[in-house]
Amino acid sequence: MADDRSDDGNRSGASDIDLPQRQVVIPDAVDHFLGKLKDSLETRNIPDINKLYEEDFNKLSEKHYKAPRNKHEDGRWPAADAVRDQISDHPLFLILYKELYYRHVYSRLQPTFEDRRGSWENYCKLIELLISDLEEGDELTVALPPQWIWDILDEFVYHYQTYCNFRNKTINLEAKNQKSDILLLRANPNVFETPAVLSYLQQLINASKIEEFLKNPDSENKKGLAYKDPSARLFGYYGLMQMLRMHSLLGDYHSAMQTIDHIDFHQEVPLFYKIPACHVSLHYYMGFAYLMMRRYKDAIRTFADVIVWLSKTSGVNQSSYQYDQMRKKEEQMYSLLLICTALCPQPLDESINKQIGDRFPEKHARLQRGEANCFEELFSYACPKFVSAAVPSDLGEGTFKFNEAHERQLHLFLQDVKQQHLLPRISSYMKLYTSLQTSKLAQLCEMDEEGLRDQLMCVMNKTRQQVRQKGRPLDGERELCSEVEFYLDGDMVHINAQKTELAHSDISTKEKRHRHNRSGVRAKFGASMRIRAPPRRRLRRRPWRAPRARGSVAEPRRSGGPARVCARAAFSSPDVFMEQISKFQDLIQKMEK
Amino acid sequence: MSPEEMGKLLSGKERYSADSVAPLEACLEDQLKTGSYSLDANLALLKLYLLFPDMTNKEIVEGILLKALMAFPATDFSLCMYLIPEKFHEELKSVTELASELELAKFKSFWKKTESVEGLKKAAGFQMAGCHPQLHCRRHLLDVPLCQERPGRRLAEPACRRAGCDGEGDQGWSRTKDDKNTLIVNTEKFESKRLAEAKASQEPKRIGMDQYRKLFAAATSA
Repeated sequence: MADDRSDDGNRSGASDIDLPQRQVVIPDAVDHFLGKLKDSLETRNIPDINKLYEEDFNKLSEKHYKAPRNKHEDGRWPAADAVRDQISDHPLFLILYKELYYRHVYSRLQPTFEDRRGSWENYCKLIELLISDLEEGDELTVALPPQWIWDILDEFVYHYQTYCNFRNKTINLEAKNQKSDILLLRANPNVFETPAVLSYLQQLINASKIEEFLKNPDSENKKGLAYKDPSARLFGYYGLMQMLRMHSLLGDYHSAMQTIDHIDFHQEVPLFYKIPACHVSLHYYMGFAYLMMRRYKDAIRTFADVIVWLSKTSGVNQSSYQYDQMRKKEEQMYSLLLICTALCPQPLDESINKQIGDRFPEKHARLQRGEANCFEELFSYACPKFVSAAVPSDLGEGTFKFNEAHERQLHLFLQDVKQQHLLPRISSYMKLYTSLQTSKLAQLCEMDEEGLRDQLMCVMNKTRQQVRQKGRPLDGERELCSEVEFYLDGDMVHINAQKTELAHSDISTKEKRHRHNRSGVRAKFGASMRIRAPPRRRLRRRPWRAPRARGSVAEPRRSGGPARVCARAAFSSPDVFMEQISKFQDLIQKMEK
Repeated sequence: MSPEEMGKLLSGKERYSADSVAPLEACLEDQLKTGSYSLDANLALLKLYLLFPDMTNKEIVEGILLKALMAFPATDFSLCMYLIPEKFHEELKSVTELASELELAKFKSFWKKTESVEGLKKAAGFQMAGCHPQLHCRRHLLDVPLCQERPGRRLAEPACRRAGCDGEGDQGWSRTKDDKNTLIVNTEKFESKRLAEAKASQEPKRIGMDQYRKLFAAATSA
């Protein structure tokens, strides 16, 4: 979630070192806060820690450490040394305090190289502590609220990501013979080293035994802390999420999906429900991996699910401080959804269609026309911020491209888009027929018959995707994902066109009203009122005409939960309405007798 | 390396260590020789090349791509390409072109081009024993009903006939009696789908008394 913050920190840490040592003044409120935090950590009082973390820390940051005021008050929380001297030297408390300290620097200020190294070393300490606790298997030294656990791991990867960005920028500056931090970089090769980050996460996951827990939460043989300690379980679980993200950032989508093999999608209340950011992050990276694997149908479903979920909970999550980032992710997911539906048209939830129509009409139209630069624009906006895992040791003249990771993914993606290019055209001709001669189709498509046969084969191949029904994210059967199905018989193409029609009730009320007005029909309530079956998308062979709705009754589409019924009817007056209702109720009673 | 050892290597922290490059490279050589295939191991190796760029071995990369090519129509090839730095793309052009011919189902030029790719000769399984190589890939496409035939009629795709297809039996296909080179492909699925759909759409949509009552309860209370 945190990967969208801008980070251009190139400032070196040299200036801080030269400052004369002076007694750091810790304001009373902050002193009090730190004392309480230390106590709650010691007593493992999770609700208290949660309050301190979610509310007090932000309030104090806002009040005392909002921006640099003068030379001595530089907008940072008190340095860790001062806190150690004045509050406590409890090691765990200090590690967690530093975690907050560096996080504050990253979010409000320009991190210096010292900050980056400090944050790395601190995370190493914390994760090593966790791993050794988990391996011993008694109890975690630390008990934290879920939000903080999520944030620790999320920030860990975010700091890694910004470090890679910083490193590439530095090398780029160096290549142009400009002033840079290259010496600091060379002197500290192991700071945020990709293999180390990956291996920390992997060890954390393995030691927590989270995968065994997810495979079989009720197992008799409860080895591993994931079974006993909620904090340990969440460290493992969010570790999986960050691993998913790491693999995606490196462009390894297959491994990314393998990481979430055992995620509890089938549970009534999966663990990712706890933290909205986790919910969104999981679906974002999962959907993106599907997109890159050309499993567009699965990608569409993944994005659509989470977008609908977000719209339902938008009121609830507003308070979360990550709200803005979630909005941004939502926007990105809409972009990816637009891309997917342009490549593989699928029926969408009506509310999403409406959003697309309202918010992105121009992008939608451009994608439908197949404009390559629109695909590029949206992809670049919505893709994760890919990282280059390492820098080759020989940086020859001009060979270093600091944006290589992003360009690699983009170019490969655009290549796929290009290959899909001809499909819509050939399908749109085929939709018009149930059978036709290859020669005629060739004529329509302006190509020779031989070329057309190749093209048909290509359509056959490209319209088939793996689609997941249930099971692990990578599972799935290859199936047809197109409105047109066909086969060749000698020189004839036989076609089954499946036109997806919307169920009556999916047509929005707005549209209905429009129709009423146009035809001038004021609906009257009568015995001939028709009520449709519960809405379901149906595949129909023949175009279906919506009957002129009279007193149309719509049942809103809902996923899960009991079906709620509501009636929206246009009546000439309330009296007529009530009269008809009582008549109808009589009728029902008679019929029942 | 046994599959168990490989599994252990891939699930532990060794997966991200430079020491694992050698066993994974050996594993690929083995795959090329025996015709086995492990996407996981190959992706892990490509990832290590990303982490330690100086260890990259171009021949191995090409071998991995050829193995991924043979997994068509799965998208393994693209998955591998995402992990290969762009500076190598030019050198690997002969293989990437093969992949795009295959994706676009241009089989004639695909098989023509395979002749010029040296690496393919080392890959066991690419030329299937006793069978025209055309089929090895084509069969995957045929699995999905690439060219179907009503019972008793000839198969539409001429290249298939020439090839002497081995999709018989397991695919429910058979040969015609008069022309041994013609295949009959079962289109039952295609036909039955139509019928089932037609039937489904004719079903009357009925609403029970309960639903009426609920509707009106809601309407009156509103």
